[in-house]
Amino acid sequence: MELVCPAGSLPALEAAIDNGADAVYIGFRDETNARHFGGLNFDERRAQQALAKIRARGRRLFVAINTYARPDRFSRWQSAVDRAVDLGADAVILADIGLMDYAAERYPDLALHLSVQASATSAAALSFYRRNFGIRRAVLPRVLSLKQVQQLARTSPVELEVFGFGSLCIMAEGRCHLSSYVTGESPNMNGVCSPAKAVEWQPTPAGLDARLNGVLIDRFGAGENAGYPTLCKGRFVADDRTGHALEEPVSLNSMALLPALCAAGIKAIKIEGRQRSPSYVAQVVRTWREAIDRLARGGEFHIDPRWADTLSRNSEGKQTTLGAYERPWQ
Amino acid sequence: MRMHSNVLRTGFRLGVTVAKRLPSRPLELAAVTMLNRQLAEELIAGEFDFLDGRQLDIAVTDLGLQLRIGKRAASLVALPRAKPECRADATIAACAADFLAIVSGREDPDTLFFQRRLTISGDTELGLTAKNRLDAIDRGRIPPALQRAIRAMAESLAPRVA
Ligand code: SF4
Repeated sequence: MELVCPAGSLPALEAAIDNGADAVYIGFRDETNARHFGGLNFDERRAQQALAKIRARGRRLFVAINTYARPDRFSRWQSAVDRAVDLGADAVILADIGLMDYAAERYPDLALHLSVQASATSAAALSFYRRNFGIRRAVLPRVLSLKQVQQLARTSPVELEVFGFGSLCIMAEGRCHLSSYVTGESPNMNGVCSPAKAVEWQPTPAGLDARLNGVLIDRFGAGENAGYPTLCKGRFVADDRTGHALEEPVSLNSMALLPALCAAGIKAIKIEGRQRSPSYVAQVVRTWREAIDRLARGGEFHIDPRWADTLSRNSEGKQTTLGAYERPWQ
Repeated sequence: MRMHSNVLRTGFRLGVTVAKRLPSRPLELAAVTMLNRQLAEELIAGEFDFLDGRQLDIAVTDLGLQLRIGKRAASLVALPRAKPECRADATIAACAADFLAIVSGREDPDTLFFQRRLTISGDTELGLTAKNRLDAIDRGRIPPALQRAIRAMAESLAPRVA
């Protein structure tokens, strides 16, 4: 199984390579990728340095161009594809169907990966993308249960990549506009859920208040772990109860399912976190490398307590979950 | 190794006590000089232009140190605080050991943030951009001796896991 790792900066990319990533995915410094945060990502010079490092160590580089192109600025997204081709990236990760058409027509040899943001969850959808754009791989949304993943793997016409670890954003991948109700910007259109300019952390006598464009979305008591200030993970009063009405601030960790995913024929495991530091990348990638290698050696697979500890330490909210993978009702 | 680390710990605690009493201005200037040297390439490339006309406070909570950083031309400057109550645009605060852990690559800043050990107040975008830019600097360019010292100090201060 290929281990696909995130990098928001050159040192993070090095950390990924040094700790055993088979492939690293990056984004350009604009709204064409879903981690459009200040100070993050790669301009042309940095992208070239990144590619040089990848080639020197024989790994693969993917470029995520995974937001939806805005009608009035389609050329910016096209140019991102052009730049990825000029760079010599091994694949681009796309969600927008128009952009995919552009890439497939213009660069028939370019490897296309269908982004998780495209939200394709059935063999029929994957076949459509395969037939029309020749995609080679699809990243599956984190809304599927293990059983559904297994079923899909049996009939999928393309390689499948699934999420192994990272912050969750599962409500409706590629379709969530929650953030834009409060901030006017959403990940699918602007590359950012809860843009930093709308976020305010306010220490108050009651705790730490998280405000999004002035709207109180959470309050963390002393000693309580915090999470990213996204609307879906806020706490609200619903039916006279205050709590996480939509989603809990936890990180997905599917390591326990590694043998099952491998047996199902899943080709790649993706680690989330281009917004995280080189230190996170190093720790998480090393852990998954060890786990995948142990699985490959055969014999009984069990999770080393050290791995579990490292992963939970680096999680949002300090907790991990199997997420939808284990939802029996699906 | 154990003893070595104990010596470091004691040394660090002593340093904390001493640093609290030192006049802070020379320390601030020394810190900014070091930053300018480390970040020369990034500063010229314009990667810190987001600081133009802005003020960023780095607050080392247990040392009572507050470094106010601004930018003039292609250099960072330590800004004097006219009045203590006049606030910077954004403040990043943590204790000395946690800052060391970040610099040495031992801890991820978001992890410290989730655990409430690192706070960003004021203009979140400014604080976040600064955090991301600092994450992106090439630690290999820090002189090896200093790297080793930082790592040793960070390790000796890290909470021991049984
Ligand atoms: S609001 Fe939540 S589910 Fe929606 S995009 Fe943001 S993180 Fe994802």
